Amino acid sequence: MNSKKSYFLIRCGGTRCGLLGGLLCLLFVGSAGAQSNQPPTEAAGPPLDLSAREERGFQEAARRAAACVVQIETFGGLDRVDEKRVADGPTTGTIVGAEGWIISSLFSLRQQPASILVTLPGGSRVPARIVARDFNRELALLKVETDEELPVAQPADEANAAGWVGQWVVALGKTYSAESASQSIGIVSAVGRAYDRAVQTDAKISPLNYGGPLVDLQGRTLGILAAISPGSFVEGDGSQLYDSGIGFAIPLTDILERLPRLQRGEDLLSGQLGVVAEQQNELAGPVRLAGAMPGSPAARAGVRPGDIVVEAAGRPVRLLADLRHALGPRDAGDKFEFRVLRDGQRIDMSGELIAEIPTYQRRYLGLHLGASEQAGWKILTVDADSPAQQSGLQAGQHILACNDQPLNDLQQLRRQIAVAELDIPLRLQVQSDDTSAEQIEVLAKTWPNELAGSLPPADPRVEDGQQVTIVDINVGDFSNQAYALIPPLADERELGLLLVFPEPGELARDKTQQQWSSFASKFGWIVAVINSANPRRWSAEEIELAGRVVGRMEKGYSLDPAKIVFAGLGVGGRIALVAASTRPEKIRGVATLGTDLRRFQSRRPNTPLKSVDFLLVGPEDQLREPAAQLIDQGYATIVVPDTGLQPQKWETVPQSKIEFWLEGLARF
Amino acid sequence: MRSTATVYMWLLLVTSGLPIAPAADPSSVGSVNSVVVSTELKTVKLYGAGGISGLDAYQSGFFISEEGHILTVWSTVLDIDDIVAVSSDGNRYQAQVLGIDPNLEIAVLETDRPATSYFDLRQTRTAEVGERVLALSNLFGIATGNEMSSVQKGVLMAKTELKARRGTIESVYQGPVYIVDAMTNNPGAAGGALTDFRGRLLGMLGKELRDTGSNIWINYAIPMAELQESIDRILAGKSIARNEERPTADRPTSLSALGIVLIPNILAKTPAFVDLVQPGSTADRAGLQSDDLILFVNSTRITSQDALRSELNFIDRADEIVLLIQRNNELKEIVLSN
Repeated sequence: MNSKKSYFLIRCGGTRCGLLGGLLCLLFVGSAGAQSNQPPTEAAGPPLDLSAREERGFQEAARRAAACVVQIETFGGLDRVDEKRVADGPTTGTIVGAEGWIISSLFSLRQQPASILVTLPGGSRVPARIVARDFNRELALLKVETDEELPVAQPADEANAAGWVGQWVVALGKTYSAESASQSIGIVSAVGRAYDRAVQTDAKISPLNYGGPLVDLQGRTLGILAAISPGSFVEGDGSQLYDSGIGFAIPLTDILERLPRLQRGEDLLSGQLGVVAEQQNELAGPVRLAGAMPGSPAARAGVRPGDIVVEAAGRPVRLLADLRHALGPRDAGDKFEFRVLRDGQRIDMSGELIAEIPTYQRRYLGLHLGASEQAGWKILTVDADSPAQQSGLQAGQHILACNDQPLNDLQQLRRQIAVAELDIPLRLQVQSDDTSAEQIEVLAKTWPNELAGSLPPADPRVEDGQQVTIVDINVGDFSNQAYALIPPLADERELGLLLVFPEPGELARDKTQQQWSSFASKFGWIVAVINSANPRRWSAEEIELAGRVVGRMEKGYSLDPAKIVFAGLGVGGRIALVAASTRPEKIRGVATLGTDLRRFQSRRPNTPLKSVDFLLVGPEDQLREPAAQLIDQGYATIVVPDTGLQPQKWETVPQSKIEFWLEGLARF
Repeated sequence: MRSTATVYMWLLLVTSGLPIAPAADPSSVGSVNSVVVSTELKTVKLYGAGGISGLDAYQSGFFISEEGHILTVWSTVLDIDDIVAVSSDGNRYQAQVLGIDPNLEIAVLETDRPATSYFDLRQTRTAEVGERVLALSNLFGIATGNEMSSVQKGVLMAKTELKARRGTIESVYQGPVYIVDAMTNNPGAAGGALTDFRGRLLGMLGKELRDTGSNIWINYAIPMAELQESIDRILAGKSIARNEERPTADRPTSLSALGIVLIPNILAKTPAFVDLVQPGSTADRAGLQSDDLILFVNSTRITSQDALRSELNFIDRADEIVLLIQRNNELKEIVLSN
């Protein structure tokens, strides 16, 4: 124990104490520590005895593990990442392979430095290179070339991970000094955190020790400290937790399991399966699937709408969260096995997870469908040049089934079309008036980014000149004025909802009525308007009103879920966009009328069943870039160039185009 | 390794054979509580100027002499003639600044009455990393009147030097500090005491500070050993002048004087890659080559070209410079001398 060399040979964190266990072990470590170079305390007398012994236990554990902790220095690189200044101070790494393999936190290397130096336990500085990154766990693998015999972190037994909770742990870092490791003390707060990827501790975890080990009292490494974030996979996000009493470490055994892949230079990304659950709430169960993302492993495995996931990676799945936990620790390239229940049968499925599901675009057949006295759903119109027309579908026919599944409601057909592959035709069972049912194959396309199709016939029950009713909407404690045009026969049909955020100032009822009455009556739409509370500006809190108004309308009327749309005039367009992004599961369309969107950023890619269509009206130069961005993320986006639109005046909007788009939203 | 294990086994037998500390009555064993109670009486809550534009009007301090001298941080709170100190036995003291050290940013206050309890400065000690510590302060000003200061426990996480860096909040004090793993440095806590678990004084909690190396708020105390000399001088009535900033060289060297041309400096942190070395120049003779990456100048880490240029301002043309450079995957020392 005297020479450094002999110490290194015993590796970081022996198991000598492991056999003894319990309190005896603690006392024992204390006695051992007393022989070595301890702080000048008096002989451990009765006062504070336990506390002093515990303290020696911590120090002994730290001493054992500290040799495999290294300091990392970076040179050059980005000044800012995600608009936040990157500190360039030294950081920490942990040796995991005697040949010079070092694990560090991705957070500490995110500035992509030009050079990296590692100070080895012997005191020499050597250059290091990043071999691979594990984006699923926020780690990086470094390699140094050296003849020095390196001590390697010894993993604690993860099979016993449940027994870790409540244990004392020491978090080590070498950010402040290459020679002596910093220590912060805590207990294990939980295991299996962040979708089963991390151990949680209340020891102080921050950029001061990211990349260092979290060790138990025997000096064995439970995990490597990382800036992982508990819920999302956003890079660097977890570092904001440093003062919260929440810190994370990635279990070392999980890292060692993946070490060969990393050593080959393979980056690891979180594995995606691509199932689409009917309900997106994590606590929803059972996990009934609306289908699989086109092009995803789930689609290739044969997932069908209506399947219920009951098991994943060998563990039961009751809630959507269970499935997410099973997927959390899996990387792209991993095989994933799961079991679904279909028609009372258990079916085992498996697939290789992928890093990125292809961007989803809404699927398009080109049909308006409606209810009918006959069986099935009546085709009202067929768009010109649409897949439906090319397959020979005609107005007046009835669709009875899709892919051999009878259609009890239209939402079922929507779900099937939403996840249709672009190279596998849907098989529709179609009944014409005079013939028997036949199978027609239709190959779905992606939703057109231009105004296409045709208006469906207006509701024949509405007579010309029949008027809308105007009602006030109670918005509770907000001082905003809100009202809605309610079409006739409101209780006898499913209605669309167009919720309008005007320019700040009042948008008068009579103006709205003049503009929208005829369309609302004929096609069955509620047109609701929320005026801003302050006549000069919208405030962020008022976004909440959108949810209240939608809620009130849902309560009072039967709404067609395919026809819920937010629209904004001028500045109100921004409010409409933000309001829609907070409840994407409800909103099917967003229209901005005369809104300058040049600084608009969209970050959420489109998903099946939550697909949103955009209509952007205004000067083309203000809309070209945002439209390209939306299309890139899979959203059907239509730009209507218009330089004459004045946001204060309804009468200047291109009304017929907006109406055409609104009615087109409910197509199949 | 085997022999060590044997020794340990033997120790174990001895230990387990002995009657281990009996399950005694806690009051006779002594406890953290008794330490805290006696230590806590030595601290004071300080009230002074401030209270506007986000500045606090309170901070912490502790008695360091029988005559009632108080050690605290030097801050705007002390910009007032009649500072009030309240100890947790409810005594109220009128205090005024006896002297300051502008380099350490500390002040010693004198009061109108002797202290009932104080830290004996001859019995301070230096702590080791991993030791348990107590921090006593009036953080967030939550204690008032005869209320106790707040006590927090933590572990001495590291010992390091505060590092200065341009362009961010910079601390005047640049010396050694104790880093604590608890949230000790909050508004009002500056001037509080850091002690070990036996109540012996280790250091004084400093002002709130963001660490420039990691960009996070840090919790730290200045070790008493760093403060002792200044305290003695102030108590002896001597004034302490502000240290000169690190002087730039009279005839500073430069990249061009050394014959070094770097790659174009287009980023905020462009690495100091050598583009060209002027033939026959100092750098050329020393063996510097194009594509070398300069990592250290003497012992200063060079994270960017800007850092290199500014570091050279402190070095005289006549002085020898030791560069640590990276050439491909190798580190090399290059000595530039005229």
